[in-house]
Amino acid sequence: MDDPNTLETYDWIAVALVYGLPILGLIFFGFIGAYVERRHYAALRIREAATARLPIMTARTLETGRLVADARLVATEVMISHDYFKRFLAQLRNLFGGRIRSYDTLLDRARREALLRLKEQCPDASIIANLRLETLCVTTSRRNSIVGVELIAYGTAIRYA
Amino acid sequence: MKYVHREMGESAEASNPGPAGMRREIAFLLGAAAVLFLAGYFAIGWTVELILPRISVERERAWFSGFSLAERVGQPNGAEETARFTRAQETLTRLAAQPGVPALDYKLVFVAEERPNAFAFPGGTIGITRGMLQLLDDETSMAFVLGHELGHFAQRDHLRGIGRALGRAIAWTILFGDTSDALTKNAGTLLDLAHSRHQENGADIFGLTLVHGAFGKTAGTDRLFVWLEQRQRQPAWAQWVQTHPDPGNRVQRLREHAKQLGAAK
Repeated sequence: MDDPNTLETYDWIAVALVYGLPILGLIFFGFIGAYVERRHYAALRIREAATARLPIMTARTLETGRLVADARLVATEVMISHDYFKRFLAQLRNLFGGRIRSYDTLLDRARREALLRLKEQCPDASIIANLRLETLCVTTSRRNSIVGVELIAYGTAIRYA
Repeated sequence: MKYVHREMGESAEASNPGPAGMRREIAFLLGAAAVLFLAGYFAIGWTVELILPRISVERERAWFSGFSLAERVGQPNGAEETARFTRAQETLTRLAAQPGVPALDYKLVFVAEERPNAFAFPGGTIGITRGMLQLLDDETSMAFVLGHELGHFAQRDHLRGIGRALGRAIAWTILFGDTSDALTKNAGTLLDLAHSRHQENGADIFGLTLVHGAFGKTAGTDRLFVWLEQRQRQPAWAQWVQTHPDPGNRVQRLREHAKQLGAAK
């Protein structure tokens, strides 16, 4: 028999909680995450167009022959979290291997956001040289469960006289 | 050196898979996960079925001889309940002596619970609740319930259940480590229910045959299911998430089998 009463009301609630909640969470947070990402991308494109005139380069030295009025360090850091659904997809990727597409956008957004923040720190600069990008791990967590993408960017903002 | 700004166009979005790319990614991953899941489910099932016949009843007895139900067990309350429990114990002894019942050390245990229920525990322990004792006051219907539980032992459903749970736990730990989601942790249980329904029907038939063999009659064996059926009406979709078949269907199956038993007599 084990349970001849089949499922009683509270069993139904348990079934709904155990199976329904995670699926509901995937859908709910997945859609919220997708919405947040779309908005971020839209904002990135507008801000990139607005700051397109300020070049960034990775070269350490540049010989232009022009007088430098001002050179200073600009640095920024960006952290972008995945949503519940992205993490679910990444966990499956962990099994099968391959490109974790759900996380590609996280790094892409972090990198572009960081460059924009650098540019926005020195709107009067002529160029940002010696750009360096590094990923870091500020938010450590349990094994297998990362919290998001963390990126630090720094460079030298140069203003010509 | 002159800086010339060039529009990057679509290459600026190279890292972004876009909605179409993400749809493909989701479809691939969910598809692959479904295949993996089904393959794992059947692999565990087949492995268990392969091992089960190799476990002898003696070994089963040795494994579970120390099994006890300390925290759930109560004592029958009052003379009437004690008498009924004693009667049920006698019925169990009589049924266990029937041919086809595996030679385990059967022991009836009283469970102080109001919900009518009976359980088969490893090693031959059968638990029966207060609610069940109150509901079934005649020998035949109680004999059927006990025969049904003996059917689980004959079919080795308890070993099967343990084996499957063990296989699932091992597979899950290999795949996800100890940090698996609530969803992946419980996903296997839902699939096991259909298997369990099949087991319940088998146990019903076994129980009925046993009662027929021991008491020479089958009338009254379906009392529990008739009671259950009257008590609850449920939509057809609800059957999918249940471990036990619909009581109405069970009554019908039992009657059909009883007819066959009667004809064979």
